[in-house]
Amino acid sequence: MFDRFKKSAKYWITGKMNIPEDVLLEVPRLTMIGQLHLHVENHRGILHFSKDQVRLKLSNGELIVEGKQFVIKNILPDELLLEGRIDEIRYVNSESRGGAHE
Amino acid sequence: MNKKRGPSDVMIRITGNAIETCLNECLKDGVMLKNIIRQDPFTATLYIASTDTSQVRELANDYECHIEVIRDSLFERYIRMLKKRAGFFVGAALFCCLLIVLSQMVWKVEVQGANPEIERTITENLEKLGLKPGAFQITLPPPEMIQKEILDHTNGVTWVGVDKKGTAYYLNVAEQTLPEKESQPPPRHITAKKKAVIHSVYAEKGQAVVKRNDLVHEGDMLISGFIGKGKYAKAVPATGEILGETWYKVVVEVPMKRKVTTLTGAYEKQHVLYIFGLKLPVWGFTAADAFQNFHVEEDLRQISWRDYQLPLAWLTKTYEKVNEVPIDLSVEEGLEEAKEVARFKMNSHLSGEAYIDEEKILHSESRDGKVKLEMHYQVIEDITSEAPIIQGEMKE
Repeated sequence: MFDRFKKSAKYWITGKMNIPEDVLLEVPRLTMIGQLHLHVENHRGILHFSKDQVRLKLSNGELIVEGKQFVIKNILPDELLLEGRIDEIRYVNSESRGGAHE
Repeated sequence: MNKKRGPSDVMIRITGNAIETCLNECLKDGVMLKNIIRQDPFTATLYIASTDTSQVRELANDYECHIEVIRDSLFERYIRMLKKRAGFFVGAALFCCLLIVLSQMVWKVEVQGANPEIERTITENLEKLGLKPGAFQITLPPPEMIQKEILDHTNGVTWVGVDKKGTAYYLNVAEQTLPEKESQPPPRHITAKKKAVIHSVYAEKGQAVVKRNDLVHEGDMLISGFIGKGKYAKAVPATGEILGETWYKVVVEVPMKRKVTTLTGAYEKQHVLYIFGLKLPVWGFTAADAFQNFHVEEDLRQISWRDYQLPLAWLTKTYEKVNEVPIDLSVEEGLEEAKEVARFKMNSHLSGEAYIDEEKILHSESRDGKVKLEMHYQVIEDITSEAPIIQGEMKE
């Protein structure tokens, strides 16, 4: 109950105060340079990693990146730089109506 | 975010079932992971700092993963290479050391401006101070001290300048120059060299026995070497300057008709190359035929290397055009010229401070195209000559 209130409050504040969403909301920020690089901020860990697919845990669901010859160039607790040929980025929302997962 | 691999990063391979979990744990512990590549579902390679290896290994053990280092860090590899080429690096280091050591030594000691005797004593003193080729500069006193020491211990030296230039010491020596002892000539008289009338008397030492306007003959005493009277009498080397009036007769003959050659300024050049004594004209073949009357100047340039003369030479012949001008003098002109010639002849005969006081024409005539002139000159010159006093004379 309190979580939901907090969340909507955050939405409201970012909406009204013109603050970048990733600052307050725990959403990832992706920066892509062509198909070559993908820079992910605010991730929550690696779920799966192979040459063709990377699945990252987010605060709210999962991020699935697909492509070829993936190399994780650099990784920090909440930052990641992926190199390779990126074909597809997909969000998988595990959020249920009932509340945030984890 | 550092993309580059640092010098201390090692490459490790991680094998196991739960690689992702393991990596996540590493991240939570703040281990920096780089260049992660999944080889197959059970292996991945990545780079970590070599200091983190043990920490990662412990974490991996918890998740049943195995870790092995498959490539050492750049730093370690570099050290290994250094060890392999140890000889070379030790040699280079030794060389540098040797260079520094040698540059701290004295290589040259040069003493300038001293005669061999003083130079030897100075060198000996320097060696006592320790300054000689092969000594270390640190063990030596500063140049000012050396200067003082040398000055104190060497006789006959006014000043020593010690200059240190790199590994060389230069000593500039100023020798004491004591006034030379004038060699005392033996007692003597001053006598007349030739017949003359005394013009001036200056007796520096001794007693003058002639006056102005006295007539003296050759060998007459002018300044006596005996001075003092009675028991104070003694013989001294008489010195002085006595100018006398002497007389000369000069006879000259000057032709009235002559040919004088003058250069016109026109010239032709011929270049000749000498090879082993062989003459090879190179340029100006017609130069010799260019003028009717000419004067040749030759300029021979020989090539020599050190003491050897190469058999090569370059000769430049300059043919200068010459005009012959006949000169026809009148009697008066001939006389004037004869006078000049006579004066020149007289002057070249005189020496030192002598000068012509008066000149007179004794006789002149022109005959057979020639002017004959007899001149009389009155000359003022030094007429002194020395006559030694024999010891026995004193007693008289």
